[in-house]
Amino acid sequence: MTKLTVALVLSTGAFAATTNAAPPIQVVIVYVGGPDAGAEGQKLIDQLVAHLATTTGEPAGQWQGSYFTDPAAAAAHLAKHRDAFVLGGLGFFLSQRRALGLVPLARLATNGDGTERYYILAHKEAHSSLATLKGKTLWGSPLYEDPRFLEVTVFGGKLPLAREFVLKPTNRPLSALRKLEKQQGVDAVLLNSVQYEGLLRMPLYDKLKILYTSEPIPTLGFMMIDTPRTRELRDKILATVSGMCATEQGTPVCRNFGIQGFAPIAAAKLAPLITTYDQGQ
Amino acid sequence: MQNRLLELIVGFTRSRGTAILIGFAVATLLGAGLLTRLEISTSQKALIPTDHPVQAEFLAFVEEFGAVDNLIVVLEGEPETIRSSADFFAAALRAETAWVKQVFYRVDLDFFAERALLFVPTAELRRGEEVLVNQASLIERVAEVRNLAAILAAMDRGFGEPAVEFHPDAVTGILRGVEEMMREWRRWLEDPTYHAEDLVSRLFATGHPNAALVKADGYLISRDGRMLFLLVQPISSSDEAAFLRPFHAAMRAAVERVFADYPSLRGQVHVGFTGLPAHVLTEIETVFDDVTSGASVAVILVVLILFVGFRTPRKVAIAVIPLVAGMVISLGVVTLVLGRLNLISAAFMAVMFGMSIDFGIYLVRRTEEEMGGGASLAEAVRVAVTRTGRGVLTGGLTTACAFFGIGLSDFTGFAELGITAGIGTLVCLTAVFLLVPVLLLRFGAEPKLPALTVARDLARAPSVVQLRVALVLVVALLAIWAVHRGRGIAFDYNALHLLPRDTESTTYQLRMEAESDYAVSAAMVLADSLEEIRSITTRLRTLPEVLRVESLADLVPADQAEKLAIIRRCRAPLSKVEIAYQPGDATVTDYQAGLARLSQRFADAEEAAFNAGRVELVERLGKVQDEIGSLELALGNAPAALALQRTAGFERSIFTTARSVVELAHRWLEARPVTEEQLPSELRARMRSSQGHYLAYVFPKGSVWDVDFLDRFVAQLKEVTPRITGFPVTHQVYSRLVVDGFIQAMLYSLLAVILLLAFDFRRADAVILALLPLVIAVALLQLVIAYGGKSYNFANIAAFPVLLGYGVAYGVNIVNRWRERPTETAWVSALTIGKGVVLSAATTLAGIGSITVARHNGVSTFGGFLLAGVILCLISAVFILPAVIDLLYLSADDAQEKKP
Repeated sequence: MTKLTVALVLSTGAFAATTNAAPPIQVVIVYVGGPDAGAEGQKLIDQLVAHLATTTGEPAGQWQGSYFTDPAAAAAHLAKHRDAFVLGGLGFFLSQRRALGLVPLARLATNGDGTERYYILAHKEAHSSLATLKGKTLWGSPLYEDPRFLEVTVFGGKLPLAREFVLKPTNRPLSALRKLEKQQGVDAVLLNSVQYEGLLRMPLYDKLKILYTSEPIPTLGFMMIDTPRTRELRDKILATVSGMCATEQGTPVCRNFGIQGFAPIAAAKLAPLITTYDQGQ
Repeated sequence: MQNRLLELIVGFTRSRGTAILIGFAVATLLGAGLLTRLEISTSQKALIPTDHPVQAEFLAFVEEFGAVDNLIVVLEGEPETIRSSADFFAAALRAETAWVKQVFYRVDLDFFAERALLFVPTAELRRGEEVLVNQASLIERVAEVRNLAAILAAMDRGFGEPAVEFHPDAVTGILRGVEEMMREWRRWLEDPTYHAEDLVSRLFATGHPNAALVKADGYLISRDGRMLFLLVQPISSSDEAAFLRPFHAAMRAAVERVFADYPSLRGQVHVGFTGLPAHVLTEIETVFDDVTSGASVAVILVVLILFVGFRTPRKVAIAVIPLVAGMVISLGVVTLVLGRLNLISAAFMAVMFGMSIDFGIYLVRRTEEEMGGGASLAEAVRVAVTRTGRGVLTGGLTTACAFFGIGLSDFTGFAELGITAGIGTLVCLTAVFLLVPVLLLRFGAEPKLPALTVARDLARAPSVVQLRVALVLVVALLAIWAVHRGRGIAFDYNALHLLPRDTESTTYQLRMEAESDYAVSAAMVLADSLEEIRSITTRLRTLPEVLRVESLADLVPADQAEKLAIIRRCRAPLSKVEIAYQPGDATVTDYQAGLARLSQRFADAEEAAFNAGRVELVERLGKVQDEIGSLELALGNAPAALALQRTAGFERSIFTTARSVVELAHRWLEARPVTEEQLPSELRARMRSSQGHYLAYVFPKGSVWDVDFLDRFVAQLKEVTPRITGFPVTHQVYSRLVVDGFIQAMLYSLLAVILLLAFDFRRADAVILALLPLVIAVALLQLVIAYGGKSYNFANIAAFPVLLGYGVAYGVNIVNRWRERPTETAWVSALTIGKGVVLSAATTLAGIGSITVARHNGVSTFGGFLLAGVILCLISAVFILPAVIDLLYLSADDAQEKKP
């Protein structure tokens, strides 16, 4: 989430070209299952927006930043404010693409290979395969994602989550992992790549076992609703976002949050995923 | 030519016996006289050629800066006791001016504390200024925080309404501070007698790289405070025992003087020595203890074995006297030629006695055999010298050639070993060939029944014939397997593994590395200016294998003018900071509620950090929560009245600390620029030479004895600057030279052996046959090493060139003996000299075996490898080589043998 917040705020500087008369361009972060941004997050957004406004010479008031952890609330907000750029995941893109008219712009270039995977973990001594987990509880923040995205795109139709498990979405995955380690009411946890990579470096991992690893899917970090105003701003925004990790102010922030930058993504690369998702296969 | 030479020797020994005896007596006396001038050099540095660029650079560096490898005197005991006694020990050590240049054990923290703000990075100072200037509300808020409950509330508010964006590193520091604060509160609750001491230092030091230094009031200590280190710089960088022994003795005496002056310290403070000088001396003493005791045992065992074999003191004397004379003379010659023995060649002398005795044994045994066959004493001696002597001479010359071949190695250590051993072999061979016949002719020998008949019968037995085919096949398969298995044997570059684990220097080094932020040895980086060393220091700190860097760059801050300007601007806002203490009326329940809220805040932050992949922050936040949990427990467990009373004590100490911090901060605001000349002189002298060169000490993360690590470490340093030296650099070069030198030594030695054998036998197949036992033995030795779970190291690889020199003689003897009696099978040849071989093998094995029990792992494995190698050579020469010869030259046409 924090990555997205920072990326969002840094990117807002590029919107400086809008006029005061027009409604503000929306910069919306959709961090499904993430923690509440809170005052700290809002402050960070404000500081960076102000900073970018200064560096670009455009008034910061032209931009409005919003943060959502609930995709439905984000979709409702975007339906009302269509001149919007969105920092969000592939799940949100696929589920809202048609309804909102979303267009992919860039993927997050993180320290990994630019793909996302999901992992199901259980306690080493409790479960040795998915078969023994049938009917048990599965916890995790990715469970807030669109169910079709999880079943069709992430698990390729091989693992009907809702049928196999009792799903327990949570925005406290670390707490769930600790309960899993102590075998206190949590039978399995679903993690995304960032969470999983972090877990690997923690002693907590020693007692856990991976029971399922999804196939890699491309990451998506940046998209827009296709409107005349967003089309007009698209290139300028993309340039700003792509170069932000190379700026003096942006470099330490990007390093701190593990972002190497944003890389443009071709719509064609997402076409098979869109087709599969739409067909529900 | 060889026969004519041997006949000449026989004639000479008959006609000039007395002259030979007198000549050798004089030569022995001369040798003994020269021996007094023989230096036993224990220097590892002396084993590297002085013209090697790395060595030359190091020597130039030492010339300018003095000795860089410190003796580390470790004081161990209760933290307070060792700190209070450190000054006494340092003074006593410093008083030894004949040996000690300086003693460094404490940093003057007051000097730096007064100027602390100048040591803060400019960017952080700017951030601090921003906070002070732009966040006036934060300063006002500080004034509102007047008791512990208010602190908890302010922290809670800080999460809800963050006023300042902190740098990620600062967040970690703040969390450490919070953790320390909670721990301190808990201490007050759990220990009714506890009173905080210098919380300021502890809070400031928490998480800082020099935390241990600050906590220890500037003393160099271990993390638990129970070890204190005094770095003693010797006046010389010599690693010779001649310097190190008296230097250590003087240091021990200084320590003893402190104990004598302050008897109560004895039993409370344990003193140990480590560091490079201590290691080197430990190694020297261990090796010499091993070699001395090994040599004594070897001589006794060899004489005993000879008594068992010869049964009369007369014959023992005939075999031993020429050897003793030969060894004394050869050491005299070595004195003239090289002037010294080094660590390797000195260790080798212990085994030489047991090996060279073989020459005499063969001659005495053959004389007895010939007399048993009816020959007169004179004729028997003649036959022994001209027939057996031929094999002995060829074997001995081959051995000497092999050693001289080693002498061509670039690695001084091996080259000197080769020359020393070559001289020793030649001189002993000469002594044996001239003295043994003379002594035999003077003192006589008893006839013995020749073993030939028995041997011939045994050799022709059908079972033996079948056996040799099986034997050759099995050995061939084993040799192939051994070569395959040998490829997996590792080379252990860690020289520390050679030392016994329980020595004082090793124990303290390992503990120092594990329990403190200091390392025993550092690489030195040179620069011409302060700015250059500053830039280099910054880059060195980013290297993954670097633990710590010390240089003047840390002591003379950069950008002082800019920093002073920032500090001046901070004076006004900071003057408004006010610490007002007003005891609160919070109850235990209030505190518990406040802590619970905070704990929840930290848990939320932890989840956010986990989602962002910030594991280090997750761990830090986890520790804070654990500490809060323990504190909540302590609050709940204590009776309410006591909990409040103790919490009030803690609260007072917190505010007293805060006031001290503010006072200190006001002093910082008055800071003046720091110059090099203001620094304490002993600190400055460590880092800048009188010629104006600057020095950075680069402490490695790993062990300097591990060359694999050193390769990475040195390579990383070289990416920053080529001007590096010090033990890590010279040791890396030394280690590689040993291995390269070993390969060279083996190649030269083998070449020399092949040339000599070719000259002697004049047939390729005979040369190959003579070398066969050695080749088989070296191959099978790999199997022994692999299955023995051993690895190669710097010391034991020397066993291979030595084995090459000695092992080749066995094959040469057998081939010569077989060619001497062409009508017999090679089995007969082997069996006829069997008793002599057994006797000589027993003496050889006694010589080598005596050092296999050495404490020094290098010496013991050197002995072990050599012992196994010689046994394998013997077995190959006596059983396998004859079988191969008979298979090749006898089986095809039993009636008409071919011979090389």
